[in-house]
Amino acid sequence: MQHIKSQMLDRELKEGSAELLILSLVEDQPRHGYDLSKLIEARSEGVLKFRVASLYPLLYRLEKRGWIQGRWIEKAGQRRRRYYRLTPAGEQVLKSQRNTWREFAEAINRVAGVEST
Amino acid sequence: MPDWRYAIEQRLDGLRLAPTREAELVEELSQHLDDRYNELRIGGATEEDAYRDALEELGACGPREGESSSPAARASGGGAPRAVSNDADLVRELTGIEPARAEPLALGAAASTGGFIGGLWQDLRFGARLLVKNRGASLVVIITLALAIAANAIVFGFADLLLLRPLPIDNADRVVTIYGVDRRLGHNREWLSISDYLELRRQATSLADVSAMTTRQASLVGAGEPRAVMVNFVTTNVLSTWGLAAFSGRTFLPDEGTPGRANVAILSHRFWTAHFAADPAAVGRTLTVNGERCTVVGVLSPNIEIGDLGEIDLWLPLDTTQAWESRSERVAEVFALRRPETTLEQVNAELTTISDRLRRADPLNHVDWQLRAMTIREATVGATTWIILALLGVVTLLVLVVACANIATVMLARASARRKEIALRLALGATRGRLVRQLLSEGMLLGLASGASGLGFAYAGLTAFKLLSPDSFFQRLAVNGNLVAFALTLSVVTPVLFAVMPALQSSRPDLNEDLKDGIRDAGASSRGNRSRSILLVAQVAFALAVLIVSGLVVRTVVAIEHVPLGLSARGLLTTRVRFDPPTYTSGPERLRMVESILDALAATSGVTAAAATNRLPLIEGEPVRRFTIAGQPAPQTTDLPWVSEVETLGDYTRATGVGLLEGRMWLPEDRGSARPVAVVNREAARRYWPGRSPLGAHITMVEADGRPASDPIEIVGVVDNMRSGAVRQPPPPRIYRPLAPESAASVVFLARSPVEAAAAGPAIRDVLRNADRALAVSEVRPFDAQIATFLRTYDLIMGMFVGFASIGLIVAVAGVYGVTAFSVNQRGHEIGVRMALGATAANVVSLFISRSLRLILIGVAVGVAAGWAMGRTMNSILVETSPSDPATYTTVIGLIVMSGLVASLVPASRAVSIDPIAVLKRE
Repeated sequence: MQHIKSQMLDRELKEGSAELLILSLVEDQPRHGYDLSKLIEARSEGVLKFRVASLYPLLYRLEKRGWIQGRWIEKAGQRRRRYYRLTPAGEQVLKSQRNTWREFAEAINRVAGVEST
Repeated sequence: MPDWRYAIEQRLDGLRLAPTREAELVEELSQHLDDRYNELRIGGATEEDAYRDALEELGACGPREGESSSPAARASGGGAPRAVSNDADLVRELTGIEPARAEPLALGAAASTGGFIGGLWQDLRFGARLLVKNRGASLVVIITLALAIAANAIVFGFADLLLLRPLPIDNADRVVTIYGVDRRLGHNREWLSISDYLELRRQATSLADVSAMTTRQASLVGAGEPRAVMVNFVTTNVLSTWGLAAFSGRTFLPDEGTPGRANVAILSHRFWTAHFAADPAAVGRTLTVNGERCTVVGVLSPNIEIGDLGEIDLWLPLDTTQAWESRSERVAEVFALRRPETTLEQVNAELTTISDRLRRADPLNHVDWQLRAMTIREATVGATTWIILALLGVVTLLVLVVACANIATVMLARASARRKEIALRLALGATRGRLVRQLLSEGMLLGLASGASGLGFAYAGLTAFKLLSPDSFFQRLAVNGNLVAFALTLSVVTPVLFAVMPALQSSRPDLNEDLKDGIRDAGASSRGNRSRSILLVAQVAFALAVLIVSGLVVRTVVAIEHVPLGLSARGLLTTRVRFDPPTYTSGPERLRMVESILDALAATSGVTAAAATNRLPLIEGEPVRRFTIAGQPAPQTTDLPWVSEVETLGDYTRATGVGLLEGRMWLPEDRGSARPVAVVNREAARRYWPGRSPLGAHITMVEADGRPASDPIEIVGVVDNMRSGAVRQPPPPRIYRPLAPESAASVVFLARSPVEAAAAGPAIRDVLRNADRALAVSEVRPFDAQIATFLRTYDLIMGMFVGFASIGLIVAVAGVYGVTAFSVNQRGHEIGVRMALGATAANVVSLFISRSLRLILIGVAVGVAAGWAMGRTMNSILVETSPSDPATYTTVIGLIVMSGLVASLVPASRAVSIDPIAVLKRE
């Protein structure tokens, strides 16, 4: 029982954190899928990596929930691309997820005695 | 740049996405992989490595290289936290459906192993969404198909009742009915005479048991008021032949009904319930039937109460030793139990031998006559019923085909509209089978929805028929398991008829064409046009065949209903009265009473003429008698002239309205006169006294063996013809004689009333009650109502044909409209150009009308051929109507051509309103 619970927590955590990453990245400007995957990899200095098989389902799910919105945008001389931007509902979620994450990280840090850098 | 689409498409295939969604996904993921590929190439990877690595991003079915499934390994090895740990989530996300466990994992799996059922479910869901989106068109399709399915289900309901449902007797598979086929009278289901029955019973070895029954009206005292009841006089083995048990008490014992045994009776369940309140103590009660006392020994099972047997009140043993009116009169319905080891053919072979023997022994009564056995099932369903049922079956099947052809046109049009989408999906790698399945699923949904609605319509139709039908047999019509299964089968099979062709055709598009073409030209291919034309011709042809058959039925029913009956049914009231012991013991006594009642009736206000007869005109069968004509050479006994015999008393011509053409009817002195007299009808005069008057001629009735059966009878009058055999048969030669004392035990009184016939009913009943309170009198009924009841079955049959034909016509006309409208839409551009170049409105309209007319005329040609072939098979049921009746053909062809032209004129005239400027601008 305990084991199952911890597995669930693990999964929720990961899912929650991935959502937080995406929402944060589209907060300032609309971005397309490849851009998002590169940004996550670059900003985490290679620690976090999204595969196609994980990234796009996540994008569609967020879109379906109404947190982000995808639109096909055509730029001169380029193929059209699907850009995702944050919706007002997404902003609320992002705010709340950031708080949760901060509290969670601080709690972990306090317990584990890890110094924040 | 590599083409990723196939790889992506393959992985998406398992998801059963909506086509547009799928196309978007493919585009987005391709771009991602392109970017990744470019990046890898820039980083120095070879084309192969870059391709492989990029593709790996899509994931694979097996364990991924360099990636362990343990979280610890992932953390240390730099593996990313996978946002969606289970690929099934994608399925959920994209489709909103919880995938089955066996469902291939979305992007990470080759989706080819997708469960068929799961896939079908997806197809059905997608189909349902599309149908709801086009709900107007879907509704029209569903209603069309539902009506056609309902028509078939209704006819199936009849077939089920007549052919499929088990008969309520145990020995149904071995019981045969034995009829006489009298080719001279043209009757193929004649009952047998008591003497023939006795001979048959004595001689037949292939039959284990032979039984007979004859239905008579009888007077009953001992169950409430004295009343006239219907009695089935049966040989005591009838019930055991059938294998029918008593509901309560017992059935007959073998020797009951023979002289010297105590009289016994069995009550029908209906009569027991109605008049004994279902009291078990009724068994053992004593009743007086026709003046004779008998003891109730049992109540019969209610299962048998179908058709004519539903009218029976009492069952009494038939005393075959008793002298019936005539032993040669064909009064007995004969049932036999085939020996288990013999076949029906063997029985019929033996019956042929017995018929030959009977003919040799008694040639007069067996001219052109032959015994024939048929299964009880075949006997239950009359020969005419078979033909009508088969025709109804064919007609409704054709209506269904018309409906399917119509829906196929709609599906074709719809598929044309989706042509580009389908071409795109095919180009992206969707298999053709998959697309066909998708289109078929939509058809299947339409079929099921129509089947369900069709069952509702069928229920309403059958209920209406039961309400309108006077026949108790049809009260057993029901929407039962058989019928539901039938409707379900149709709803699954019909989509195959109407959805397969459009599905196959649209899933094999010319990719180049379709991808290049704009929406404007979607579906304008010659192949599509050809299919639509064939479907339209089929609709017109089959609808016309249905119209022809229905038209012939209508003509026949109208002919039957408007045939001169020979009497005036309006204002005529009838009632049957019995004069039984103990009050009436002799013929002269009865006759006196009949005469005194006639006098009283004639004096009643509201009655203008009264008569008595032994046979209810038109409805009751009449005995056939043979005679010789004085002064004419006596023919062979087998070629003797014959007549139907009716006995009357009182003012018969004025009461019935049959015209007296020559001579006179009865004078008071005719009764008891030493000089017997008779009146013949026009048909007898035409046959036996051609070109001269029969007045003054003398005839002598003869017995079966050729012996004279009467003194010479003088013909004193000629009356007009009156039909017989339940209206259907032409007037036979007939002789009217004064009511004989020995026929006066059961008499029909006829009273003509100038006022509304029913109003005189109570006065007539009063006359009868004043004459004798204890008389057993049946209900006083208006004669026209009895005829109407009789004809109502024809009306109902006609109504069914007309109803089904109307469905066929409306659907076909809607088809003509739809195809023309489609063609107008399709050629809007061309019309615009033509008009810009100076074509007039008339030119444009005639462009479409001429095409429609050409197709309609081809349909008419095919339909006339089909209708003509069907009409020939109906010859035997047509009355005063030829199978190639020109009026019917002209009317229905005119109807279908005119309505077809109107249906194409509406959309064609819309083409005129196309604005050429707008069309050219769009260019």
